[in-house]
Amino acid sequence: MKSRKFVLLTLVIASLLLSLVATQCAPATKAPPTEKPTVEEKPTEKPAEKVKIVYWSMFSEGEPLQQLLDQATQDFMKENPDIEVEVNWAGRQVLTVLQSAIAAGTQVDIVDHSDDRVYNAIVKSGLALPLDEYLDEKAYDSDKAWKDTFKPGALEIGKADDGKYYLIPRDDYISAFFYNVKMLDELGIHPSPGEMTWTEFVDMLETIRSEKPDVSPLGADGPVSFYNNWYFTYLAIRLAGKDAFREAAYDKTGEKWGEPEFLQAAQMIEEIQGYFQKGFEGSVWPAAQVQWVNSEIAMMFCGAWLPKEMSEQTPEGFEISLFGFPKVEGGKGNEYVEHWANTYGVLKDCKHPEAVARYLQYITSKKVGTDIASLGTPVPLVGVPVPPALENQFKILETHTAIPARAGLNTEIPEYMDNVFNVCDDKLFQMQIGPEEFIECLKTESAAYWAR
Amino acid sequence: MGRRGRQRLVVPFILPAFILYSVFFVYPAIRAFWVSLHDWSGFGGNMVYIGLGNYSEMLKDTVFKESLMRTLTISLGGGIGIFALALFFAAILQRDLRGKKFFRTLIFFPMIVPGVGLGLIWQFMYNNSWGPLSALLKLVSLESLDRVWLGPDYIIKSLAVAVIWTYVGYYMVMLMAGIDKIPPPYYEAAILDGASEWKMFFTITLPMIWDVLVVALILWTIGSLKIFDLIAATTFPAPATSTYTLTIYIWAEAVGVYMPVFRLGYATALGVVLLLMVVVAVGIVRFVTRREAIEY
Amino acid sequence: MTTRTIASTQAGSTLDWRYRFRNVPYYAFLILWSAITIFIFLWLVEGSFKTNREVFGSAFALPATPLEAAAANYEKAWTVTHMGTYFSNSVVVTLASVIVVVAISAPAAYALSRVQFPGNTIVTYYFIAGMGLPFQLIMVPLFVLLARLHIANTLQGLILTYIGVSIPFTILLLTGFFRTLPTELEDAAAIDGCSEFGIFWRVMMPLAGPGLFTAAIFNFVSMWNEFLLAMLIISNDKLRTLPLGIMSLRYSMQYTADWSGLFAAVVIAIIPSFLVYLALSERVMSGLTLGMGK
Repeated sequence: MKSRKFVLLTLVIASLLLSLVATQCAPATKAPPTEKPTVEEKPTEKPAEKVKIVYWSMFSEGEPLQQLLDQATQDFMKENPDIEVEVNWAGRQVLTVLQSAIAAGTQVDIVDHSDDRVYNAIVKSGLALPLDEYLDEKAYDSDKAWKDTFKPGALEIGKADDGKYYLIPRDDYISAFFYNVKMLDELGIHPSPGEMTWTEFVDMLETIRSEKPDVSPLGADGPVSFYNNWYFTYLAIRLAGKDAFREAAYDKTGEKWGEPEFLQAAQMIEEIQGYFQKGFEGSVWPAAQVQWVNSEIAMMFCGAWLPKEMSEQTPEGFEISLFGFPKVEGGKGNEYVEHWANTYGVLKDCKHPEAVARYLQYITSKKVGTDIASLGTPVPLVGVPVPPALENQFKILETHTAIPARAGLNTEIPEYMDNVFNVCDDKLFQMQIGPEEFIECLKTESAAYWAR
Repeated sequence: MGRRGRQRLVVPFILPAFILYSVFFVYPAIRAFWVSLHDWSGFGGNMVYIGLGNYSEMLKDTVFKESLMRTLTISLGGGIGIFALALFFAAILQRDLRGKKFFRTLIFFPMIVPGVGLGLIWQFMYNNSWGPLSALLKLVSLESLDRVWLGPDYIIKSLAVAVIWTYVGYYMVMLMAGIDKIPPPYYEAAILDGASEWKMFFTITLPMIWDVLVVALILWTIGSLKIFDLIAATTFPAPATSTYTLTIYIWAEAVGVYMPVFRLGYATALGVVLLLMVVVAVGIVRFVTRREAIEY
Repeated sequence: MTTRTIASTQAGSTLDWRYRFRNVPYYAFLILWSAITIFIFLWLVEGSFKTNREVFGSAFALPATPLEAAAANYEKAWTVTHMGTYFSNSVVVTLASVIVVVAISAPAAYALSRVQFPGNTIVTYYFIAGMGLPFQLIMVPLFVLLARLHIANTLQGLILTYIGVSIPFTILLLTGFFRTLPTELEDAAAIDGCSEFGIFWRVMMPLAGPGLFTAAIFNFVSMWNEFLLAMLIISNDKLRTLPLGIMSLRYSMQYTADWSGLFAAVVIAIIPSFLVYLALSERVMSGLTLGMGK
C-alpha cells in the first residue's frame, strides 16, 4: 500500500516538474520564426540602431499568399538590414486577437484584412495612422510618388471621411457575373464587360435555358447572406441611385424603403429566380461554385476571388471571364460597380512609421505585386499583369464609378446589415416571402432597429 | 469532537485554489461587468459610460430574443434527447450483453474530438449536394424526406442532433458510475420478488441515482447554454443571422468575424445576460428535482 | 468493477425464445448507434483519400486513386500544417493544467467539506458560482491581465487560465465526493495521534483516489477540446493547441477550397488522441465508475 502511494506520488511530482519544464522551454524555442533568419543574416558589425516593426497578418502559415509574403519579408530584411520585421501569421481571426493585444499594449504596427474590417477595427476608433505624407514619398522601386504606382481609384478604398488615406490596398476585387466562356461561346453569346442591359441579360438567360436544358443559367448558394444580398443591392442602386439606397437604409422610420424603385428591384429578383439551379435556396456553400466549374451552371454572381478560390477544382480547359452587373434602362445608378480590397492599416502608436512605410512600399512594389498576381489575385498596381480570368475587372473599373461594398453600408453600419438587411433579403432570395412582404419586412425591421 | 487543529488547515488548503481562481477568473469577470456598462468597440480607449444602456437596448433587440429562443431550444431539446439516451444506454449496458466495453468506448468517443473538428464533419454530413445523409436518402428512395439541413428552417434541429450525438457519451458515463454504486442486494431482493427488469429500473435504479442525475442535469444546463465550438464550426464560415444562438450572437457582435461589427460593450452585456440565464436555469433545475437524499 | 448481470428468471426455462432473444432489441439499438458513429469517422478518413473533385462527386463513390490522393493530401497536411507541434502543445497544456487543478482543488475541497469554519458556505458558493460564466465574457480583461503579467501568448498563461476556470467544476465535484467518505477512519487516526495534515495525506488521499481520478478525466476532456480561450490567448502559431490548429487550418484551406487536404489534416489531428483513448479507455472507465460519489 505504502509503496504504491509512493510510486504514485513520484509520478505526480515528476509529471508536474516535467510539464513545468516543458512550458518553460516551449516558448523560448518556439519564438516567432522570422526571428531566426534575421539572426543568420545580420552583418558582422551591428548597424547603429535596428528598428523592429511588427505585422499581424490575416494569413495562416501554409497559405500560398502567406508563403509569398514571408519570402518577400525576408528579401526586404536583406535589403534593409536596419529594419527587422516580425510577422505574426495570426489567421483570419487576427482582428479578434488584436482587440486584446491593443488593450494590453502589445506592439503591433501593421495589420491587414478586408477594408471594411480594418476600417471598423482601427480607423473608426481613431487608432489608425494617416499615411498621406508617406504616399507622397518616392515608391520603393521607381521615381514616381508611391501613390502614383496604384491604379487610379484604388487608394480611394482606404480614404476615410476626414479625407485622409489610412489603408493601403494589396489585392482588390469587384463583384461581377462570372461565366463559362466556352459554354456561352457555343451559344454565340459574347457579353459586353460593362455595358449589358437588363433586357439583354434576361434574354441571355432565356437563351441558355432553352438551348441547354440541363444547364442552369444562374447559380447561387442561397443561405449565404453575403452573396445573395448582391442582387437586391445592385438592382436597388441601379434603379434608385446610390444615395437613395443609402438614405433608405439610414432612414429611422424605415419608410423610405417604400419607394417604388425598391419594390421594382424585388420584383425583378422574383423574375429571375426561375433561372437558378434547382434547390438553390438551400444549396450549402460551396455547392453552387462547384457545379459552376463542372459546367452545370452557366454563370454566378460573385467577388473576383472566385477563379482563384476554385482553381484546385477547375477542370482543364475551363475558361472564365466576367461581366459587370447589368444596367437597368432608365435607372439612376447605372454607373456604379462595387470595389473593395484587402488592405494594410497602420496603428497610430507605432514608433517607427518611416520603417513601416518603407516596408509597405516594398510590399506594394511592382515586383511583389507581380508575384501576387501570378497566384491569380488581382493587384491594383500600375504595370502589374492581370490574371486572364479577371481581365475585364479593370476594364469595368475604368468605365464605372467605384463604390465600397454595398455602397459603403457594410463598412458604416454593419450591424444594421447583419440584423435587418440580410435577414429580410435572405427570406426574399430564398423564396420564403414575396416582394411586397419583403418591403414590409425592411420597413418594420429598420424602424425597430433604429429605435434601439 | 476536539479537532481544533483542523482549523489551521483551512487557510493553506484553500489558499492556492482561491488565489488562482480569483486572479484568473473572478477578477476578469468583474472587469467584464464594468465593460458591459459602456459603449465600446473593443479597440482603443474611448469607452463611453452608458450605465444600463446596453441592457435596455437588448430588450428591443429582436435578434437577441430570437437567438435566446434558439439557445433554449437546443438546451431543452438536446437535453431531453441526451438524457433519454444516456439513461437508456446506461441501463442496458448493465445487462449481460457482449461487447459492453466496445459500445461504451464508441459512444464516448466523440467527446475526445475537439468541437471544431466535429463541426467540419457535421457540416459535410448535412450537405445536400455531397453529404452522406442526403445521398443515403436518395439511395433508399426516400428523397422526399431530404431537407435543407443547414438552412434556417432546420438548422437548429440539425445542430441539436449533432449535439446529442456528441455529448450523450459524457452523461452516460456519469450515470453509469452512479448506477454502479447501487448495492446488489437491492436487485437481488427484487428479482426474488419477481420484478421485471424495467420495473427494477424505475423503482430501484432511477431513485438511487437521483443525486448523480441531478448533478448531471445541472452540468448539462450550464454546458448547453454555453455551447459554442460545435455550432460555430458547423456553420463555418458565417452563420446566417436567422440561425444565431446566443453564444454565436455574442461572438458576432464582439469581434467582427462575420460582419465587421465590433461592439465589445454590448457583447459583454449579452454575456452577462447569458450568465444570469445560467444561474436562473440551474436554480430551476434544482428546485424541480428536489427530494430527500437516499441513504444507503 | 462489478459487472452486473441481471438475468431475469421470470421467463421460465432458459431455452425459452423470449429469454434467448431478450437482448436483441438492445443489441440492435447499440449496433445502430455504433454503426452511425463508425460510419461518420470512416467517412472522414475516406474523404482524405479522395481528390478534391471526388469529394464533390457522389457521396458514396469510392475514391478512384486512393493511395495517390491520400499521399498528396497527407503530405500537404503534414508539411504545411504543424499538427505535431499543435499536438504536443495540447499535451503539455492539458496535462499540466489537469494535474495542478486537481492538486490544488483536492485540499480546498477537503477543507470545505470536512471542516466547519465561519464562512464555509460562502466560500463554497464563491467557488461554485463561477461554473456558469461564459468565457466570452472575460475575453479582453483576461488578456489584459495576462499581458500585464507578461504571460500573454504563452503556454504558461494558457495553463494558468485553464486552471482558474476549471476550479469551480473540480471543487464542486470533489466536495460532493468527499462528503461521501466515512469519517470514522479520520477520527481513528486522530485518536492515534496523527497530525491533521497527516490525516489528510495518509488517510483521505488514498480513499480519494477514484474521485481525483474522475475529476482529472473530466477536466482532461474539456481542456483538450477547449477552443475559445486558447484562440484569444495564443496568437503565435508555434504555441497553438490542437483545436486552434484545426480552426486555423479551416480558414486557410477552406479559402483555397482544398477540402480533401482539410480532411487529411483533421484525421491527423484526431489519430493520436484516438490511439491514446483506445489504450486507456478501459482503465478510464473503470476508474470513473469508482470515482463518482453522490
